[in-house]
Amino acid sequence: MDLTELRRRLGRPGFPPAAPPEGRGMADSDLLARLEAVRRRGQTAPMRREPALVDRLGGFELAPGVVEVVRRHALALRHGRVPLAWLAEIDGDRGGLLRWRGRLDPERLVFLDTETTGLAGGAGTVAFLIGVARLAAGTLQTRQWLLTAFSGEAALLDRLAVELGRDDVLVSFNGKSFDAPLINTRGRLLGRGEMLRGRAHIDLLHALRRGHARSLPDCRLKTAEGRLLGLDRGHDLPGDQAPAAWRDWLRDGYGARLNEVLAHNRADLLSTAALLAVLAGEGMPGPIFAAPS
Amino acid sequence: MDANLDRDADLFQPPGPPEGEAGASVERLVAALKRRNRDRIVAEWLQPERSARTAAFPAGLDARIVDALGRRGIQRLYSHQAEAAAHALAGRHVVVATPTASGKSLCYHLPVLQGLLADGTRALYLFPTKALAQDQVAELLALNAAANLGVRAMTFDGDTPADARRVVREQGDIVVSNPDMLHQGILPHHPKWARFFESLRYVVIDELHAYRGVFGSHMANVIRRLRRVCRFHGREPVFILSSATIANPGELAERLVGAPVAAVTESGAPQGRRTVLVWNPPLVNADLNLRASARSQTARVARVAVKAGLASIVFANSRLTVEVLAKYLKDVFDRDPRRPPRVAAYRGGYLPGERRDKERKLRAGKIDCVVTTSALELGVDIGALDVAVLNGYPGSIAATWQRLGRAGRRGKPSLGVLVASSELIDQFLARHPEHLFGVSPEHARIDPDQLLILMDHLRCAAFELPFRAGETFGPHGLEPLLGYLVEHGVLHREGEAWHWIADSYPANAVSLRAVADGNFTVIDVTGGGQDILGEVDYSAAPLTLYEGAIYLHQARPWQVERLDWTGRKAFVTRTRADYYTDAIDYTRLKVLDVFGEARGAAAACAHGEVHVVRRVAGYKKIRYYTHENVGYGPVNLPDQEMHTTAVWWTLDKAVLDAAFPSRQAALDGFLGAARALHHVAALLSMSEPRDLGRAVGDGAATWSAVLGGDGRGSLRTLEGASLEPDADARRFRPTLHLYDNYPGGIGLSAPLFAQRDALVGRARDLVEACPCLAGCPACVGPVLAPREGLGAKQAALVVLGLLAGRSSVASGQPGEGGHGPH
Ligand SMILES: [Zn+2]
Repeated sequence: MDLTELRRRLGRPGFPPAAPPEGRGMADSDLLARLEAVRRRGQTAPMRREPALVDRLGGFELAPGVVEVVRRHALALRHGRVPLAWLAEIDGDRGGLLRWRGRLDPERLVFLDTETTGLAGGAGTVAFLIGVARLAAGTLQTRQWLLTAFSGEAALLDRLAVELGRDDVLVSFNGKSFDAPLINTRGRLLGRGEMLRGRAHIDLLHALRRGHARSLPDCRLKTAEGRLLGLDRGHDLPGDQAPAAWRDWLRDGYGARLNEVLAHNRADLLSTAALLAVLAGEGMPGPIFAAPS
Repeated sequence: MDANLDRDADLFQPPGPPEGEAGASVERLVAALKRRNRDRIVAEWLQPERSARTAAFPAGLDARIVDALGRRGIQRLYSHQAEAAAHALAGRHVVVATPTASGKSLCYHLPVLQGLLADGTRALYLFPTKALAQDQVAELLALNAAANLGVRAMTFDGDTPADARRVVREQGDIVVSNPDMLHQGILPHHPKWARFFESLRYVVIDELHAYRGVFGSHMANVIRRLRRVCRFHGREPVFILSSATIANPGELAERLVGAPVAAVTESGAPQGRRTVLVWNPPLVNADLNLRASARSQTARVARVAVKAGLASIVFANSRLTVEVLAKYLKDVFDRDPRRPPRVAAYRGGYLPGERRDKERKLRAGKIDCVVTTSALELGVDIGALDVAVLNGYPGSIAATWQRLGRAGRRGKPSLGVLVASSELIDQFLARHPEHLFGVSPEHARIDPDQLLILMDHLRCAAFELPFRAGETFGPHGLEPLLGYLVEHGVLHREGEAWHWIADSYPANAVSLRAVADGNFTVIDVTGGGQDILGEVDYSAAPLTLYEGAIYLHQARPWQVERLDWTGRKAFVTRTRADYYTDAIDYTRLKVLDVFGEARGAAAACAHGEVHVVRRVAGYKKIRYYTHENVGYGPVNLPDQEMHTTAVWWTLDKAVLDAAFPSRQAALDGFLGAARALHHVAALLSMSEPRDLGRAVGDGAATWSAVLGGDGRGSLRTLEGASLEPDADARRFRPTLHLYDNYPGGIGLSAPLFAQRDALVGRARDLVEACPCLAGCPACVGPVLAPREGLGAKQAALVVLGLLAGRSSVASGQPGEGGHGPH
């Protein structure tokens, strides 16, 4: 059966009304337009201008299909109203919100955040961007790995494995339920096993619920940023647009919005770090920020 | 041998009448029924007692299993159990098709336990319903407990709590689940199940015969996905299937698994003496071939059986009939509200708690008679009963035996009675009971490559693992299909691989069972409350939940006050109405494309793609017991639409004009012929009548014909207005359509086109041989008020004769567009 026949049989207007959203009932004209676009681009993946993308992102090609972007954030800076320098002063779980026993070595903290093609989970969801942050040489250093092709995923996961030392402690926001299982799933699919299984992991969503479920309208990161960090992300790319930006790149080689995706992911990493500083320090006298007006 | 196991007849065997007593009373009941109803019993069939054929345990069977079996009283196997286990242990896919209660489950427990104890391999058990899965776990646990085998059998279904799921994935030796859960909950998350898949050796599929038609076609694709995922994890599991007796268990199993499957069909289990009677209600009017209603006869047989102290099960083919029959029987046995009820209705649409409660009461022997639909045809454990009464032929011979098999305690006599309805197939079987008792002619058919279904599962499969160039998924070339999905933005091609990139979870958009989604909730608002009374599936809703409909629940009537179509809710109140309601629906059909055409001397037959619109126009109110029509009401519901495939017939215009005295007569003839053809087509294609639809119209959806209450046809326009047949002679080109009653078609119309001569010939024989004068339910349909001139039956014979006229030079032009066969 050729594509024309297939389109004829599947694409009739008003085919079964219970069509799934992927557009079974798409009108013929629409289909033809897409088909034309496919033909223009050629049958296989479109031509990539990878060097240009790498330059634009200010990174380097770690391996074919993966770009690494490194940024250093001086501890003298504030994220919202939280001085990043607080991070270096963390010594333990003062208020008990983290449920962490014993010392916390700031140098061993690895903040983690991913951008994925969807929120549904399962084998078909890909983490196309994995970002980590840690204290290094007197700065908070973010390191992000962006897939520019599926073929780069194995290299990306291997790089992540190298990054994580044996005694490192993962810190995330909702990562126990989402990011870690997803990375484990990707690891399984690429023959690398459950990479994050059994690793020490502090999920700040749980800590936030313990400490602030009653005082906050909800426990979303955005709410915590506003109320606890005094941060307004302003014109940041909304997280739910990140997958579309990546798909645009894959399909059309159009990577203009990938910079914003990386910036969004970095902001999430910094918020995770600042939030840890605040939540770990709760219980000791110090500033709690008022909600921004 | 006594304790050789099957869930139908052992572990939960209720304390029935003492040995001998039930047997004696079954024999007495048979004698009494025969004595008093000689004229109604048109066939009697005796299945003699049969002794067991046994075999030794397979060589090398783990000593712990031998011990467990011994503790359950099993020293040897039935021959079919040994044969099936040998195939599975040798790594060959195998299907076992033996009667109910022949110990089928041991056929798969044995190799599964052997693999587990000897090599630490695991198994997946799939049952078509959740209820069955629960019974299986209970049975496995009993075997397990008998010798402390340490087997961890765990259920994984929609009720498994989130925190228990990880335990099942990682520790379940035997995971018991259902196709829907495999499809939506396991395969899309297979990396989490990696340990399970890496040691998966056996996949057990029970109730194989349930996987036919649309459901089976979906299931075959779920299995393609399962095998693909298993290969990724380095396994090629062995499939062990079990089936009721159908003609082609091996073929069905091979279509489903997609690989050669050995078939074991000779049962070695002993059998009690079974009597089966075919019961034809007495003639009320010989000229009209009108018979007393099957319902009253069914109620009568059941009444006599319950009075004789025999546990009985009554099967009906619709929920409505279940409720009406339950009411008739409750009127007899449950008149005293202070005593616990002896009669229960059980059907789909009750809430799970209500069903579980009834199952418990049945197992405990607290209910003497249960009235049910196919809901109890499959192996839900209700213990064993003595008598099964079938109100009407269930639509397939396999289902008939499945239902009859519900009666029969181990080794004891049982009775089955099939009460023929006035429907065409029932009367055909009453005249030819040899069809029931001979070799099963039924072939369960599936079409795994039905394009819509295939595409649904291709999405799911691509989500589970990227497709690689050269991979296969059924016989179609994959690249155009994957290209189509790339075009739609759900896949991305990179080099030689196709990756899922959409932000969705495709399995959630695919239901294995229903055409359209969304059950309707029935809410009781009597007295201002809001109590959920039950559920009705989407396809049945337009026919049962229109405003004004009487909704029966536990044989008590409610009236539908308001139907919220988009919200999928019906609001009902209690009523004392002495009538029930029956929907009047009609179908319009438009030919979109002709795949092939055959022209004869006077007629043409073609098949192709069509657009079908079904509309419920109104309803009739029918009084209990007397069945008189006491009124009509209008219905205003959205149309049900689909594209599917059909086969259709037309007569040449000159022939048509010459053959009939009036257009009315021609119309009556086409409607009658359509009815006979529909049922013959169902028999020939070995599908159920509901798998096919029929319509008489002009092929361009300008008008369609409906059958009035008087048995005569009339024309409706697109808007439902009535139209005089003679009003527009130019447009009067009746076309008789049989269509595949599933969106996209499930592969029934092409074989029907190929068999068109046999089809028309058999339909003609059937109408000709019917003893009625002018038409009756057993041929062209009831004609209550024959008009002057050519009767409906004679008109149908004229139509069928002309259609049969030496024809058949076929020409196929697939893909040729057009708006009709000419
Ligand atoms: Zn007749």
